[in-house]
Amino acid sequence: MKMVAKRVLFYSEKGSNIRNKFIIRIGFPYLVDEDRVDFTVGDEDLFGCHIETEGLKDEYQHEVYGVDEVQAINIASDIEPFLIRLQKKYDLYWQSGEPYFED
Amino acid sequence: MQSDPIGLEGGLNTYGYVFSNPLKYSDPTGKNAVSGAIIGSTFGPAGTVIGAGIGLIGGYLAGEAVREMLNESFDDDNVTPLPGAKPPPEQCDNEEKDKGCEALRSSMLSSCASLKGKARMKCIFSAEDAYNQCMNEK
Repeated sequence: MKMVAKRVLFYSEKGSNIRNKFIIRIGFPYLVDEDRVDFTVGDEDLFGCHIETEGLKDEYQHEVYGVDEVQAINIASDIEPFLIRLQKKYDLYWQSGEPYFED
Repeated sequence: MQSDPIGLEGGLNTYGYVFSNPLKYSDPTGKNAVSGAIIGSTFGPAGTVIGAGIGLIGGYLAGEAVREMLNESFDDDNVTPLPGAKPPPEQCDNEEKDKGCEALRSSMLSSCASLKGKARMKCIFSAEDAYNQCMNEK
């Protein structure tokens, strides 16, 4: 995957002190082919961005979409909702060791 | 069971307001869907008339709810399982919910296809917000 951005964080299992590195990568925006998605694209172009993780036990892959490359990247770069979900399973940390979320 | 009376105006999936599952979900507050047909089938001919009326009104309100979802954000607090509906098996629960959230997003993205410019952009943002709220409420 041609990457446009990434974030490197650490996670630990709840109740564990062992921290493991994982990476969230955002792919380069691409023109969506209607035959490869399960929804109607319409007459106008639609752009997608692939998001994936590396280092987690359950690797995550997701596609987001936008009317243009900017919106696709905009949505893809908002990784907080994904990390909030992840926080239910793991404790997350910045590379500096600080907790990712304040609370 | 009531398809969205606004037809395709509210999206290609006219049952999208109940997560494409009109048999399982209803909306007692009228913000999503109403089980008029079920009332009808339960209480006989008189109930059918009453149920159909409720279904018509409820379906219209459901259409409004879809519009609201596209313009604002998704709130599935109003969607409740029908009385007596069996919950899915525990082990498949998360996977089914993931698929439900993805189906919701796809349905909303399909609705965006007929829009242009800024409205389409807002619609796509709404679809992604709805997906994230759906996933994070699990």
